[in-house]
Amino acid sequence: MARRRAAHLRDAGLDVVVVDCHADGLDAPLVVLAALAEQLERLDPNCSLAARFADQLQMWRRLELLDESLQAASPDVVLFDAPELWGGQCRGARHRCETIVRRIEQAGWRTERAPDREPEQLHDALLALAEAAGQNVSQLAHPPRAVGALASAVLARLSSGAGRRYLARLTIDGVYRDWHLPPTGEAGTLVEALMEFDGNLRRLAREVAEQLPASATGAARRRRALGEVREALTAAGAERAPERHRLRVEATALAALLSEAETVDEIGVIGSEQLTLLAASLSARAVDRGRAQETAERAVALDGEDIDALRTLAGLVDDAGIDLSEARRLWQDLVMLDQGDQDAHQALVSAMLADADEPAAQLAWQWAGLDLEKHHQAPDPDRLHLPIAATALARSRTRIAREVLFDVPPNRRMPAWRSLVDVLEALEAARQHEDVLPVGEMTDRWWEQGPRRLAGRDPVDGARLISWLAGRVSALDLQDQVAVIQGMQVIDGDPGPPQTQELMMTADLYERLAADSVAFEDLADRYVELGVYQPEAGPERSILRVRRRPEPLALPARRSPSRAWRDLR
Amino acid sequence: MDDLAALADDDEHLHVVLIGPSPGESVLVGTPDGAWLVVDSMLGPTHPSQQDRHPVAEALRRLGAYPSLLALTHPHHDHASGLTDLINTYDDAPVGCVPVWIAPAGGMSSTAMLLKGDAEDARAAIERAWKDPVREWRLLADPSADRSLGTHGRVEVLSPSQQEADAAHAYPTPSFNAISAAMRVTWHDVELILGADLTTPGWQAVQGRRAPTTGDAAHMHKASHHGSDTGHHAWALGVAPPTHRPVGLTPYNVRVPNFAPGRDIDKLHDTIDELAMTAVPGYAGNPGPVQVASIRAARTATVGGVPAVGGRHLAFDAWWAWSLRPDGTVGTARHGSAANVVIR
Repeated sequence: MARRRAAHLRDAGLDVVVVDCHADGLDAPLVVLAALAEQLERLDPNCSLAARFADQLQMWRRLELLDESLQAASPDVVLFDAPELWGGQCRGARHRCETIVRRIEQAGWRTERAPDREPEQLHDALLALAEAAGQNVSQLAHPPRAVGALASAVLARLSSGAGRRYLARLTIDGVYRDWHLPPTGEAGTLVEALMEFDGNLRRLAREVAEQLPASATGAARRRRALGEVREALTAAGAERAPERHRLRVEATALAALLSEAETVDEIGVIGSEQLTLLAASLSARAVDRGRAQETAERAVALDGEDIDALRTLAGLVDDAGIDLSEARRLWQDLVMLDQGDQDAHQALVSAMLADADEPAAQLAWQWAGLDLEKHHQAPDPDRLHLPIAATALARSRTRIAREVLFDVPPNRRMPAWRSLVDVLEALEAARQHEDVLPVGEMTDRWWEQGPRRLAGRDPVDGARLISWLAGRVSALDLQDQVAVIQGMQVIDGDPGPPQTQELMMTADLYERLAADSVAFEDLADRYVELGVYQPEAGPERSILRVRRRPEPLALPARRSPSRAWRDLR
Repeated sequence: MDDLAALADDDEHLHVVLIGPSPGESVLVGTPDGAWLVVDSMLGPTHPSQQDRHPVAEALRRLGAYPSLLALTHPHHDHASGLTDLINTYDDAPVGCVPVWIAPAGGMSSTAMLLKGDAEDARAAIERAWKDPVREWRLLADPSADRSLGTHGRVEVLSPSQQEADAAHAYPTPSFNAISAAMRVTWHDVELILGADLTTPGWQAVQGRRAPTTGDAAHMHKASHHGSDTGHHAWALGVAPPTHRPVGLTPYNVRVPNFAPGRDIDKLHDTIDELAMTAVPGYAGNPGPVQVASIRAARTATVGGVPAVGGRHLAFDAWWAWSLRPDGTVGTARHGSAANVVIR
């Protein structure tokens, strides 16, 4: 995904993008390890760096993402802050950093050291620079040193005179984490406007509520007044928001009022439709799910056949994951009320899979097909098949995942479908102990594609690759300093399929064969390629390359642990 | 597994069936009056022609057994995968589990995804089963966790204690093995120790809670943690077990058990002459009992100068079955074609 996003940013003409090193995802193509270095300085100097990174900073993961992003995006400016701090005492980390620096230097990219300035000054300077460049710089909430790097990047880029556009987007609060940067910036403007509007609503609601009588005798007046405010806010929101966001705006108004009201009744929400809206809004905020569920339950109690209310309640119960049996019952009710609702069918089957009840899910899946056919509903793979398959795959339920995925008509098999099929095939292969390639590469006759990281000839002496092995480090024994590699060996000229092999490799041998600066201790669960080269004269020799870690797969999150487990904590 | 069917007609012995198509293990303990305890499950084996078969479900069918108790010692893949299917099939049997759940270790390989999915699936199935109070069985070393097995059998949970379970979350790198549920099964005079994957410190704690001679007196042991020396403990294995006492282990197949001098098997041989192993690590079709030298000989191939062992294709019938008399002596010992004895 990082690679795709990097390419996307590149296509959009973004030459410099700074990423907050504290955020979970380093998903853009640049580079600032300033914040990371700062963190390092604070750490206990008595620990080994490798352990610190592994436990606290996930250093290896960050370095790999950085490396991959650099290679994918080829930025014009690369910023470093105190690179000597990266490696420290850890030989593996130092090698890794040196490799990255060397690659950057070879690519001819410009490198800069981030200045150490006060964050406020940098913030102002950056905004001024951005304005001067006629560009938008938003959401500058980030570590101070990252600001420095950002400012330095913009400065460097401006001075080069070659840039077209600068956009920096740093997030630490996750607001935009799942938001894809659009080329035009329109979506950002829209989201920011909505957030601003949201804030105004809350402030207004709070001010109004403070003026209202709090005594019991004034309850009727208070309720009436709150109701009026709600209507006014809703109307105001409807005027200001685009049509497609009107529902959200109205719900925002309701939620804002409810945050100030003592009871739901106080704001005059008495109909199931309004309660449903309110529950949806509370749910969307994810801060008051208990109240959201209570509100939805009231809506369902008022009208047990209110489909929207049921759907909202079922969604809340399902998302909470505490009582999947109840979620199943609600989805089942919904399916009974509207047999043509493929979203409800999807949710029912998915909840059954999440509840580890594949037999029931299998049955519900078959009923879904019959119901939709009876109601002349054309199944939409994006709404029906793919979410069910993703849930099944997250639980390693490959059989039903295969059945569901291959129920998608051939003409509807889009890239998202292909991605899930890749996962399915990888899991099936792993079940059979042939997990030797990352997801997506274990295709039919994969060995004919050749190795990904091994060259056909050694560039030094022209030695020819006569066989290679695709494998995965299935076990790492740090006590004995031995890695176990489970692999499949491909011999040049042999039509295949390759034979399964299991190799044991000592740390010393690994040091001799490895062409990458990945520490032996970091080999667990890594994919590797091992090539055997035949020079013109002399004996064969082997070279081992370590594959980059695959991208995390976007399968649905697991349900939360139930009360049964949480009681003990 | 045809020999297993013979056990179904034997109503005089306590039957212990150890299934282990590497990696993975399950222990089935059946009393003559038809009560069966199933400890752990695994999917497999790994040969493509045998996919979609469930070794434990198949064994239960051949034995004509309906489990009275299901248990998951700890949610590692090689003990948890396929348990969901057993819980769904035998939908009134109590399900035992240590009531602590630590998220399985992450990873980005397909195998890591698979393991995590299997473990989470097992957790969800247990959660669902536990909604029925009759099926809730919290595996903690406490008398309240003891269960009857038939008329004369009893299952006792040796580990972890409530304190150990509570403390598991506080560890910076929590380990499932450290809190896996070892058990003791008694029937008449017979005593079995089922070691789960409990590690040595866990056994030390068990010894502190129990009479120090108890383990030594057991008539059969399922070696903990696939024979790894991380799970060795003199009490757990018996200080000086007589050679007729069965000690069974299941290979994990990634260097566990380790045959190197001073490691797993070698150390076990300090006190135990014969180890009944359900399959050979890296088994490549060896049909009968083998000795250590034979296993070592299988590790001679090389690829590009790197020492290699054979493939991972295991025969399906990787199992041992012992029938024990009421006094603890072994009546019969049967095994599948993948099984072997590792002799000192």
